[in-house]
Amino acid sequence: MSVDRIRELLEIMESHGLAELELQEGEFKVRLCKEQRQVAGAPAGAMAPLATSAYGEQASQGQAPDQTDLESIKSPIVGTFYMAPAPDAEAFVHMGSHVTEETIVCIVEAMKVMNEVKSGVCGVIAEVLVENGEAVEYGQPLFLVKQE
Amino acid sequence: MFSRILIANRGEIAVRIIHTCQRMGVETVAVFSEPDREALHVRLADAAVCVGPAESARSYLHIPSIVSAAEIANVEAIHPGYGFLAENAHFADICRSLDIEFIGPLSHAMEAMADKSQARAVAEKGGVPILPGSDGPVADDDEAIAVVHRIGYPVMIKACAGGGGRGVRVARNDASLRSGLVQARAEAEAAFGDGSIYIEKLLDRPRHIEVQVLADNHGNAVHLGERDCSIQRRKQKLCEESPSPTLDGRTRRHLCEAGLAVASACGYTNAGTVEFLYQDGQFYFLELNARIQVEHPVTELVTGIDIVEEQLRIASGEQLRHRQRDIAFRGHAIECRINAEDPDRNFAPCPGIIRLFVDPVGEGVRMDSHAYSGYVVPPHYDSLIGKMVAHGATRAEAIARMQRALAELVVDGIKTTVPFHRALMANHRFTNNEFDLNFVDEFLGS
Repeated sequence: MSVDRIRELLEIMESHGLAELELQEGEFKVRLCKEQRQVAGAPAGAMAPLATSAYGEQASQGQAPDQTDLESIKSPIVGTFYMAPAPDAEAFVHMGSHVTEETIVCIVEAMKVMNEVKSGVCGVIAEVLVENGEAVEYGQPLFLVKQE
Repeated sequence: MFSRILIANRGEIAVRIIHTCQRMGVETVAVFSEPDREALHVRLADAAVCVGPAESARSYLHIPSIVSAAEIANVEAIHPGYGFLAENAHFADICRSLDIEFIGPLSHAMEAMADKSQARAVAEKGGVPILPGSDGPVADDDEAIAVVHRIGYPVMIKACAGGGGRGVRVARNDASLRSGLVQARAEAEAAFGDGSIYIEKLLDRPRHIEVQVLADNHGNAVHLGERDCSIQRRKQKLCEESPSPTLDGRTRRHLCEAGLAVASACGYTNAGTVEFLYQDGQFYFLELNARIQVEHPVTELVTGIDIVEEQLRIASGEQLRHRQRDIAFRGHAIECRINAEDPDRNFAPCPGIIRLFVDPVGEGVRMDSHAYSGYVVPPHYDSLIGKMVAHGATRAEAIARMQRALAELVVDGIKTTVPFHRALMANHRFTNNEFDLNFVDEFLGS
């Protein structure tokens, strides 16, 4: 097997995005493995901070810890997060609250419409990830729930 | 001038708008759907908000989500780009009612021209020629037949709520008229929620020529010349140029004045395009597009005017800085739309990962694109991945630059329409200005 042949194989791997290629030609057998590099480019991150707004920090807050029984409740709409149905009312839930799938856990207000957000999971609220009155985007994790 | 705006769009136009804002010192807020998280417009904007899942109806078209994002990001205005909510008068009203300026015309002007049959009446009142056709929507088949017998076959059956070539059928005799009416009404109802149709005479070898207008809120208006967009496949523009190689000076002047007359007749403000069909030395009003258009770069290269900048200035209440006599037209510009489509398989869409993207550089070439090496073209949206625009002192020079640029462009990993454009630039009917709206179908047929 010539060096040129190996170069050809490397080009095939590159153009088809292969990580590994093994080939037997007659007496010769070759195995080529590409080292997996982490892509360096980081996404811009949801809501990079503006001069007057601090909602950029939330991009790093929604990381679920390495526990497989923790499920997140995500915002179904972009808007403003509220813990309670009214300014001086009791919060819907707090850390330690038991929730079923149907439990209303918060409100996300969009264009003056108060959207009630249901838990969708069964368990105990392990963490509240956002603060009352904060801006949230679609899909942003709001609560972590320890599933039962 | 606004200090922060939200761009309610994606892809190349969102990038394009952000570029002008960055130059002007205007902060930008991008919105994106979940599959667009790694998109270029998201990376370039000062801030970005996820507004929904992949389906446009639940993200880019979802008015509560867009407006909610604008509220939490505290923007002063929204630029709608083209498509999506750009010509949605209801959206414009909601924005303005919340003290968020909509960068575009007032909703009454949008509404006046949104019904394509009513738009004809507005143009006619403005003294602009229109094609022979029905007086508004046709109530029933008998009325349609009467209109057709007055103006003669062949005719086009068109959706009042349509536009951009959608919901259009051709009828060449009574039989195809009757079946065409049924189908056109059904399609229009399904696509636009409004089954009304009108009828227009069909021209057999027209050119599509449109006029770019700018009007401020103080009664001033200018035109930025015309664009020839006759290279179309299935009513979708593929290649556009400015000026039109087919007009003489006198006709060009009359055409541009007609464009201004239509804009004035409907109280139009901000940037808009008045479309005409042109055949045998006569032009006829087609429709007014109340938005910035995809092909606006060819006008920018010929006039040196940044249309997005003008939109921002007009929307923020400024007077137009250019008088008609100040506007100079230099050279010739051509745009080729690069779509993620396979020209060998009937232009089937080709979403996927672009492994390597290299855009051409150098004098007289501009590439408006959101693509980059490693970008995944999603399947959920239109297939436009970039606009290659070339400028030269003459049309021949622009074509030569386009050929060079198309040869230099690298888009590895997906199929694109680059081979189609290379063939087009080399085609003698294109280079000799011997084409009309039927050309591409004839060209592809061979």
